[in-house]
Amino acid sequence: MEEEFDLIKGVWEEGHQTSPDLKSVKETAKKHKKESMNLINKIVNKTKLEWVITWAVILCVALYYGITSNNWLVVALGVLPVAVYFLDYMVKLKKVRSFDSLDTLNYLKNVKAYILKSYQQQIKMLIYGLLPYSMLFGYFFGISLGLESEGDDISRLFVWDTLTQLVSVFSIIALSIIFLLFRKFTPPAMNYWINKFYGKDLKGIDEMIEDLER
Amino acid sequence: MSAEFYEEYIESNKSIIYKICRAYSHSQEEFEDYFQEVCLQLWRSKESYQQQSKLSTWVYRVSLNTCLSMIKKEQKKVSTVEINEKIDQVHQFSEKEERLEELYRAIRMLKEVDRAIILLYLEEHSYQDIASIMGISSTNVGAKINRIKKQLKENMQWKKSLT
Repeated sequence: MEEEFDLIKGVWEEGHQTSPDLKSVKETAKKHKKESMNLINKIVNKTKLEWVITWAVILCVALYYGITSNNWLVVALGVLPVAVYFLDYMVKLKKVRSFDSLDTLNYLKNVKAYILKSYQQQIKMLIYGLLPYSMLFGYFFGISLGLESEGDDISRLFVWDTLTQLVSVFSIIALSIIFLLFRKFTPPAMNYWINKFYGKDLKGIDEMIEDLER
Repeated sequence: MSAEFYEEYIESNKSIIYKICRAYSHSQEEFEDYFQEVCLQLWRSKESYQQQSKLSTWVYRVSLNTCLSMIKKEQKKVSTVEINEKIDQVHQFSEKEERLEELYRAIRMLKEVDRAIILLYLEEHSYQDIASIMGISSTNVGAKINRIKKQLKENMQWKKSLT
């Protein structure tokens, strides 16, 4: 078998004696930098688009609310968690850019982990961070609007009487139900989404990892 | 290491990129796509090269990782016979080139990671080098190469029985 393979090696060496006329690496890279088809770039570009949409929506709502109510502190508190979340993404992006130079097995494992972990982390941050924050903020904002229409203000809630006790009990029950429902249904919805967008890629990566480890 | 040296090295070792891209592409059009993508990734990775590994190892890693991450998304359910026919329509080969293309066809019939390993073996990299590029143990490289050699030989026989 070794002799037969020497023939194959001979074909390989002989066939590559003349080098083909190839374009310059530098020129090719510069010319096609916007047309990348690499999986990492695909993920990064998709996430960038998601962020552009997210920021556009958030800033429009925040600006509208800030201008109409002139309450910029509320706007800042609303935008803050999203900004923190965005910074976290930027740090991760830097790490992802360095995957290319890893050995193949680690590269494949890291790409897979990045796809899965980043979305799982998003679910956790959404459920345990952004969601309770938005729910509480929205809930008390709604109550304060209601109180204002009655000629009262939010300080009314600090008067511990039958009304505030009733509002508190109702608030705790309502917020808990919403939180539990969200906690139950968000992960499967997110997993469905991951599978829909990256299912084929993940399966392919899994197969390659398996082949290498076997 | 200076940026100029990196650029010069990559330019003078374009044949590495050529061989890898040719082993993963099924048409001239696909070859162009792979070549562009690998060039782009090598260019982008210029600043992250930190001399912890040999530059040749680095070039192989970036090129193979790029091809492997591209191959899954565009894998088409086309039989190898169809692929060979398509390639024959595109290229007019000399006898030497025809034998080489036959070898490439047999390599393309291997699994994606097996293609990478046999390419490195044909390029006369040591088991240790292959292990370092692929992220597996040298012992595992040896076992895999024996299996891939057998598979490659079968693929070439299979091709001959068709013609």
